[in-house]
Amino acid sequence: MADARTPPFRLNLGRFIVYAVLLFAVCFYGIPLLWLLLAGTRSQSSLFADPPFTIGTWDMFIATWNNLTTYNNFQIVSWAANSLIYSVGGVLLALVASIPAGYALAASEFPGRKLILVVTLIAMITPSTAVVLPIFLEMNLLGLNNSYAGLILASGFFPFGVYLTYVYFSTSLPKGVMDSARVDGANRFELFTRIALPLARPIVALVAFFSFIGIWSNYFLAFVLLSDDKLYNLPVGLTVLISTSGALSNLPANDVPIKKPEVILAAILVILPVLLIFIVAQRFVRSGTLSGAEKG
Amino acid sequence: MSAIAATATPDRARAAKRKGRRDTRMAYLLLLPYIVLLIMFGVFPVAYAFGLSFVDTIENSFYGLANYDFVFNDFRVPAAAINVIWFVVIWVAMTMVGVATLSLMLDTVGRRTATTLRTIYFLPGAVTSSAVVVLWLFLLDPGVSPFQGLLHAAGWTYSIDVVSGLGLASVFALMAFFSASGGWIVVFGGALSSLPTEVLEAARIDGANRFQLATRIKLPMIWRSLVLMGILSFAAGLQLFVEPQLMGLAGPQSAQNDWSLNQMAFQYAFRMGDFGASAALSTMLVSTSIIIALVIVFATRFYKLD
Amino acid sequence: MHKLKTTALALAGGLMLMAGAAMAADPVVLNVWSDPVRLTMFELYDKTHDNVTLNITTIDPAGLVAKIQLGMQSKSEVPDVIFMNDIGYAAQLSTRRSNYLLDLTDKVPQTTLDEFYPNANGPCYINGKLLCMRNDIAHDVVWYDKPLMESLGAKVPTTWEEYQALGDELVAKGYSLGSPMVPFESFLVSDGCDMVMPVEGKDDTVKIDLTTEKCLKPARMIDHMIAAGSLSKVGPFDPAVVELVKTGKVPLMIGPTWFGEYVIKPTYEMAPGKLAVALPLKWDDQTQPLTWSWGGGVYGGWKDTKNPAEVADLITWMSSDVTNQTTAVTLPAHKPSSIAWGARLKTDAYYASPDVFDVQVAAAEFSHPGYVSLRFSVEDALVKIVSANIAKGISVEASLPALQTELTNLAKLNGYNVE
Repeated sequence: MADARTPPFRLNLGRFIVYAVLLFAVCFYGIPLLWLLLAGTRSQSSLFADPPFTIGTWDMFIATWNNLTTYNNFQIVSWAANSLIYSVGGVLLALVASIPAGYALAASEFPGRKLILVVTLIAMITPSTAVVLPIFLEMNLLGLNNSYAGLILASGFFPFGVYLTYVYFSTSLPKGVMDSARVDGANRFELFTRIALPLARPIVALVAFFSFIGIWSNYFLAFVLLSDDKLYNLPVGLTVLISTSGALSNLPANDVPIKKPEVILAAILVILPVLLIFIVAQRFVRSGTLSGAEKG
Repeated sequence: MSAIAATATPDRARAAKRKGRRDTRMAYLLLLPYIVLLIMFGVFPVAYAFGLSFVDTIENSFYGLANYDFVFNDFRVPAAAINVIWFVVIWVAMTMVGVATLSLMLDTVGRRTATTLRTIYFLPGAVTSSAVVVLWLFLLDPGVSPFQGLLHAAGWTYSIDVVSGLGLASVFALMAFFSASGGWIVVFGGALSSLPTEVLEAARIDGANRFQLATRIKLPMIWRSLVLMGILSFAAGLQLFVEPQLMGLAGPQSAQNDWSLNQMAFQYAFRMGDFGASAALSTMLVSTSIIIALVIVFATRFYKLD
Repeated sequence: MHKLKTTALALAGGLMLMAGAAMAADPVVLNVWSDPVRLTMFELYDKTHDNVTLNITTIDPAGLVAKIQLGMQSKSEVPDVIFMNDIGYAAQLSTRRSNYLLDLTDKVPQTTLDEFYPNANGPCYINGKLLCMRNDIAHDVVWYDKPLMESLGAKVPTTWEEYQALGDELVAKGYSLGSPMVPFESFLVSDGCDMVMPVEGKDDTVKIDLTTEKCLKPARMIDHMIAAGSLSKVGPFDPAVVELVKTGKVPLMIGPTWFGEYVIKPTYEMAPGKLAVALPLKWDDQTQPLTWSWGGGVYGGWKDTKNPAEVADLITWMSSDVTNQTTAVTLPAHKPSSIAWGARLKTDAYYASPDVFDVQVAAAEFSHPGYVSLRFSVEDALVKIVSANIAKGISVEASLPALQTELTNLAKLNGYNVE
């Protein structure tokens, strides 16, 4: 009805502009990724000489894959395994720390509550790059640098998760259920485990999603805390591959079989898990990022 | 009735008090793991850096403001500050305009189309750390870039032409926009779809066309969130580190080791071994971010505290 | 039963004694940080030396200095021996604040040092002390496509003046001389320009003067050649340059010794039987060439190591053991090793003439004495000022004053006295 009243010409022009802009954006965001995925199948010289969207050969892809995976005794495979260990460990710790904490902040009133909330918000908004160095010195004091435990511990600190959980419980915790449970004689801890936790499934997924993405792609903290190459995660490993082989800087005075195709394939390996999770879990971003903002 | 109430009151108050204490203990118990982590990785590092910024790290003695003095007298610091400010201005402007435009446009097309497009816009967020450099090294080179037609049309033959033509601040802003904006578009997709339909319907009946609907009705409704996004991007942008730092992987021709302030802090500590100067610069950067955070939390009421 | 117990006890005691004896003869353990390329060489030392056991960690060469700073700051995990793939690291790891490197001056026999190429250990002498030993050298030579040069009727230049003229001549025929080794450092210092050169006999003192004819002359040459189109304004690995060389449009180029094996063969894909090499260029008024380098790694030790003698031995062996260096990837800095290493090039059919290696050896005599280790990167400054200006169309000559300011500031900031 409304459409019928707008002049047809303007409508068409408007539509055209909208679709043109959206299509332009598709190119801007999509083409680089498409190119990257295709580039993993191409040879070094094809990358230079052939048009950008040339598809390489299957044999080339296999050769590149073998160079990459067998290099230095399957080092990249063990880096991938490390990444998995850090991510799973870090996500679990983040959950164990944030879910009860967010619940406590939402469900009870106690001295220091507001302070903890404010500090959490500050920690959440302030990017962590600048404090990496003191974290290193601290972990060293505890003898935890260069260990799985150290990086997992540091990755488990996830203030955003606490805040998400806090917002979730303070808006969705049915007060009535809580009260009746309390009348039934359930104690505080039982309230958490019997009533709150079963309700928390969506927020657990949300916190796990956000923390996984952060930990999987963490470069700087891992670079500083880990000095043993056996403990590297994938982002640090990829950087090492690039700088030792000189594949990108073109200072390749060595026989390391890592050239541009291998580096591109390694980069794909780093981003692929996140890419897949993104496709599955887009709705988490939608419901999570602005939680609480605007409501105050 | 009232008598019963009167006699019951003190008892109940006492019971409530006792329960309150139990509540408090329980709350602290539930918070314990998080508080330990918060102190270890939030409070302590900031305090430690602050303390270290007044110390000479060789003699381990009090150094007064000498570290700050050193930082302010480094000729590269003002240049880096200007770089970062340019980057932040360009990036925040790009993000606010780009995200608002694309989100509002997506809200006018079919649901299916919008979801598919949003997913495409969102995916570059997966490209992080060194993968960013691998990708952009090729994107910016007219010889091999998938956008080579566009770059050639701009009259650029070599990657240095592209970098010089756009300016490094814009290049880094573009990199950051490429990865981060899709996530926000998804967020605003959610925000827009939850706007009250009555208002939109009323506007439509009043004869507002799609453009007016978007700019006069929807935009004001998501304005606050847009501003929040801008401030958050601003705080994050000040700490720019990974993009310029990892450019060095592409060889000395691309190295930009002292481009941003955070890189300077890194250089002090990791190249010159001057942990005190590094802490001084970090402290200043973190303080700025904390002030921004406090403004967001207390002055804007964006975040829920009660 | 009782007897059995006693025997068992005696046996246990004996075992413990044996363990003690084994511990006394235990080899010295050295912690080594290597890049992946040097790994096999360290492993060979480990295998051939019973008195020393190496605990080798491969690390990211770009992160080396950062890791050492962290290790020293936290007083943990500091390696005894390191390989540095950037000669600048030696200076960066021997300052007041990051004082890592062991003084090797009295620990390496002079006879061994004399066996190195001239100036090969230049990057290792800092304020008169030997702080590291060079693994490989990488001085610039002239690479050319022999049949192509012949078919063009062009003569291989021996001076920079001839080089410039050759460029003009080739442009007319649709050819060029490739890339000027962006960011131009090797060209700019070819006539002895004082672009951050150490001052003999004065600690922590450098000379920076870019206003002399020694600097202006090469700058003008680069400007002329870029404008004429005989040199590209981008580096040798820019896809545009790679494409140019691949299609046979670049008959001659200047490049370091490793260019033949690691760039021209694999990246430029030049066919076998074409590549030849000539001595570096000199200016008309020079008596001999002065050739800059690109690369070359060094070994260093930790000044607080518990086993300085073993550390010095390992470093010496790594850089100058002939059997070890024969199989090295790049041209050894140790002359006797390099002779053994270079034998394979003489019979390599890839090259158009058998003298490829001999020319490289002869060229090593002309290595620039100013190729030393500095606490800051001159190259980075050149990228920041000159390359950025070139992209905007500002000439190299016009960029020199800004470069002088930048370099002077950097030098002072890093604790140098500037003359």
